[in-house]
Amino acid sequence: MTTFLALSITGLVVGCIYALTACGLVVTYTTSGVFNFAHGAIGMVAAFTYWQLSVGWGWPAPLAFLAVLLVLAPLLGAVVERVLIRPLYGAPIGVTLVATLGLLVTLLGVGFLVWPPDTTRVLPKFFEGHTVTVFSLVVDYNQLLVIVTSVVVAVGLRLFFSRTRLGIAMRAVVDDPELAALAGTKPERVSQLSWAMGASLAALAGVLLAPLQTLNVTELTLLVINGYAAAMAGRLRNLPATVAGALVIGVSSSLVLGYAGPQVVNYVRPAIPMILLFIAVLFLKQERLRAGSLAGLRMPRTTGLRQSVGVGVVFVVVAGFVSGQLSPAHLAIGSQGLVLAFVMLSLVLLSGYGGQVSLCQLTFAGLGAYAMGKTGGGALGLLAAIALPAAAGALVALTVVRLRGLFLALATLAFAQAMDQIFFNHALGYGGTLAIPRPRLPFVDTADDQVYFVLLAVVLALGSVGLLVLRRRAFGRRLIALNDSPAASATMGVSPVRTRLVVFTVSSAVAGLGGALLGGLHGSVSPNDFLLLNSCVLLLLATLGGLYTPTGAFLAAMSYALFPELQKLVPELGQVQFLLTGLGVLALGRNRYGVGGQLADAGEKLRALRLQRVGVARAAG
Amino acid sequence: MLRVEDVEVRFGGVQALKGVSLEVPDGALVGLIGPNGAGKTTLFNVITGLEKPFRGRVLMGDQDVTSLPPHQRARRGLGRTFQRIEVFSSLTVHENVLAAAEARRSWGRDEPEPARSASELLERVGLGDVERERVDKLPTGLLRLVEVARALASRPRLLLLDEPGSGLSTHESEALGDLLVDLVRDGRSILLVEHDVELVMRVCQQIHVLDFGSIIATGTPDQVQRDPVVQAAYLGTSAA
Amino acid sequence: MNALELIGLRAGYGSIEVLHGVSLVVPAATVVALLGPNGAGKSTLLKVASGTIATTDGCLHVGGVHVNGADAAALAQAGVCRIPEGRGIFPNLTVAENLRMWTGVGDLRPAEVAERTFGRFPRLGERRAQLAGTLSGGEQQMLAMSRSLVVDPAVLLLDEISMGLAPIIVAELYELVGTLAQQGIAILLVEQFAQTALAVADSAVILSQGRVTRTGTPAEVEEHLAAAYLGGAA
Ligand SMILES: Nc1ncnc2c1ncn2[C@@H]1O[C@H](COP(=O)(O)OP(=O)(O)OP(=O)(O)O)[C@@H](O)[C@H]1O
Ligand SMILES: [Mg+2]
Repeated sequence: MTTFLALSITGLVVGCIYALTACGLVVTYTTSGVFNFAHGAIGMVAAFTYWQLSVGWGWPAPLAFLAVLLVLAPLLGAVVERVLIRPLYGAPIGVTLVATLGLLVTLLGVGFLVWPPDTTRVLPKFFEGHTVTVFSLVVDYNQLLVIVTSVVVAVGLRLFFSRTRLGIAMRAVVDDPELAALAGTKPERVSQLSWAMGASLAALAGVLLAPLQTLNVTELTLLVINGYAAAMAGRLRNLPATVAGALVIGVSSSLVLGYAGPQVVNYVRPAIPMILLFIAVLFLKQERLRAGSLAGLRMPRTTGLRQSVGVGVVFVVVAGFVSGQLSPAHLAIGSQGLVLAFVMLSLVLLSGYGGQVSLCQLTFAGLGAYAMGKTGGGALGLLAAIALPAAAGALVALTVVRLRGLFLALATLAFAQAMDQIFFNHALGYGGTLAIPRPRLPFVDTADDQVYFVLLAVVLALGSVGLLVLRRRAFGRRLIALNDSPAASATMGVSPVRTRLVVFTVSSAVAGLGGALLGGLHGSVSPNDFLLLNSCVLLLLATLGGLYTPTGAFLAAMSYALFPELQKLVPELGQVQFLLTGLGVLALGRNRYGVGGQLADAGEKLRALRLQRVGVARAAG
Repeated sequence: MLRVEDVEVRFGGVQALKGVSLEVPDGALVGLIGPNGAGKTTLFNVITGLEKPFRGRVLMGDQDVTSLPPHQRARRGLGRTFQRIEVFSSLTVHENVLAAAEARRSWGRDEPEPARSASELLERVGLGDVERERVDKLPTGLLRLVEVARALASRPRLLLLDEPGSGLSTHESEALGDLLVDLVRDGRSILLVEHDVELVMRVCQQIHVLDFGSIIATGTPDQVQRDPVVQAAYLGTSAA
Repeated sequence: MNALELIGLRAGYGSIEVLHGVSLVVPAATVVALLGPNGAGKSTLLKVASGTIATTDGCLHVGGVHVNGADAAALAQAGVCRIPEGRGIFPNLTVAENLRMWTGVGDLRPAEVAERTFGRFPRLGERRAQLAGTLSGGEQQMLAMSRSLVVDPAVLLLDEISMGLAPIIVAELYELVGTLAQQGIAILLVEQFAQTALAVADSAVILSQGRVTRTGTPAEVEEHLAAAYLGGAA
């Protein structure tokens, strides 16, 4: 009985912290429509800053606490809103997701840089040494503080958002900032305030959590994932349901882990939050009502068939020529870029054209590599490398096909993480590897790196041209139409479910093939190659490159592959890698369609100029 | 062509439709009018399958389609426009209509030249000039015409129009009336929801009046216009 | 004094100019009907007058004060109220919460705002806890219109308020427009149905392709309407 109570109390405290983080997520989402992946990272920075002030520089704890919570965190939130979020108003969900992912990476980097992990940092508990006894159970003041704070915050937020004009205004500006302004409210100021508030909540969770463990940059940042499921339980809008969800998750996982044997614990524990998230997402139904805005996406102009085939041929010829000039090391880099670009094409199709954001593309790539490795290559291997991920993709799509936008992204996130933990670790063994053969072709020897390089270039060119053709034809239009208005699409005879299913399946197959080719390039794969985090990076890069054009995918992949090389030349680059990501994400504010979009714009301008000149020439002649 | 039998819809405590029955005969232009919030759009949603009725049936021809999803109903010849505009805002005007024509082709109906028929339809509704514009640049009134053209591109046998005339100028609305009469002459059936009473009275053969989720009157335009119940609930005295 | 005055005003979206030098006055306690074909720039003009779109050239005066460059929120506080076309509500807030948003301007308390609105539109009173986005089209329009009742503006800019409303409500609304004008409000009215607008207007302006082509009494302007609509439709 005492074990039960003790476990429950521990679970309750943990649940309260989940509740705090989840509330923060909900606050940011309801007030800006952005799901802030960097929420935990903000909490992490706050916790470290608090350590720095109180332990490092010896400020009195309450002063440090207030300084972090009421000054520094809100300031950070306000700055983030101004430079990162505001320029992205109305951007598709994928872009805003990537923006906060970029923020996460940047803050992680800052954390490592400022507080290198080589020292152990511990925070004293609040009210160290004070305890109370409830039902023969010793509860310390720190635990009480957590519980009381969460209750107060949850109730306070609920009242604030439903009763006060400011709270209502915060929710209103997401719907329609223009109307908010007409009603006398400055929308920028209100959004900025809500980001400040969100950051403050993140900081509160971080600071409360910190004394319960040794400070660790990654752990603090990723802990927020446990809050995702809770936030979903409240459909990202309902605070009481969010808190209830968080408490249930906290207590039940504490009990399960307390009573179950260590094997189960080791095996299941890391996957628990994700499994819960997946379940929560599956039970979701309602989405936000569409605000009145009718502004569409401005996708870059697509090139014509002849032009894209021409570019493709030139690309392959150049690749053939270049392959002879490159050193083996450079050849490897180039191949890596080509094959990553191919994997990214799956994102161009799915997210760019189809508007469905996926955070599990590398999971499918991993499945492709796995199938290739297990079947021993050859034609059968290639077939399997396409079929297995396609089947898995179809399965996932069947369960999540009702979901759109953010909810789909979160479902894929959960899927990716669960696959990491359960499948890849199991199938490939912890830290193990699986040998992946290269596809065999008649007449050419793919074992030769040079040949393989050219082969990859051909595959990429074919994939890109295929994609462009698809985009220009009926199917491409149908995808965009479906994304713009599912209801109207359905009433003209398009089955939304089937169309999304097809896209998801095809995209998984492309990713799978890419994965098999990637595995073939290196000769083997390990579970670490397909981590969720890598999938996130893939999406991030693809978005920076421009999700709407194969060119963007190519550029993004190439620069990613080249990065280690650059780092060899300029070692300091490794230190500022995260800053570069941050800068890249900021650039999204200038053109949300990425580098590819920027290029397409430039092309458009050139074309306009030329037309003008032709016009002038005609007029003159 | 269409028969709605005893349809009831509830939203929480609100009964939006309380057992509505009506019929649209082949080749008829039937009006559905009524005060704001009477349940007209809800009825459209039930007919097209976007809303599940609590009770009641929807029949097309003599087939019960109550349990079919929206796209299946569309393929059986049902088209509609939306009161809260639902255009494909990332596409051009022409592509909006083209997408519908292509969709029709994809479900196996004969549609030899979708691009041409899209252009012809746009010409027909009077949007020939703006064909290449992005749709999000158009004023609201014209967006309604885009929706009409798009609905026509699926060549429906029954067309449900939800306030196609609102936001149109007097001239445009007259042209729309002529178009509707034309369409019916071609053998199409139309169910028209519209607050532009002049338009409704001019083109409809039969009118149903919906109020608080029930049909309160049915008749020819003349009968309906003279009905004191309808005047009190909807028209006001001046319009009679 | 002129409550609203535009002098040689130019504006547009990005590099595309829509208004090419528009001059227009709306004195206090007057209804001016702004007519013209679809795409003439009427809604754009209202957006400029309410500060949603910046002017690129010319002057905008509200209550005799030069207000070029003031943003929408500031103009709202200065007494300009625009009811936008078709989407004047927050869909993810309830009816009651939408009304709470209206209290950002003027000095009515929330309870008074609700009372006035539900007095005029009882239908909304029955729906006060419903999400505004799930209201019927006409109910949404009523909710949007309710803002003009409760913020006590000096200048009221109405963009197609009759859109989607039952005739009986339209008649009521126009009666209301007349009453508001009598209370001293300057009203600029955009309406596709010219006859409806001209019936309540004191004067009328025809806008065609971003330029004012005619100004006068309703009767004078009505004569030229047909030509303006047919000529400007392209
Ligand atoms: N999702 C919903 N939840 C709650 N109530 C709803 C919902 N959808 C519609 N209603 C209510 O049902 C009633 C009927 O709405 P409907 O949109 O069918 O009216 P309508 O006849 O089309 O009116 P209008 O002429 O104003 O467009 C309205 O009172 C509306 O508020
Ligand atoms: Mg309706």
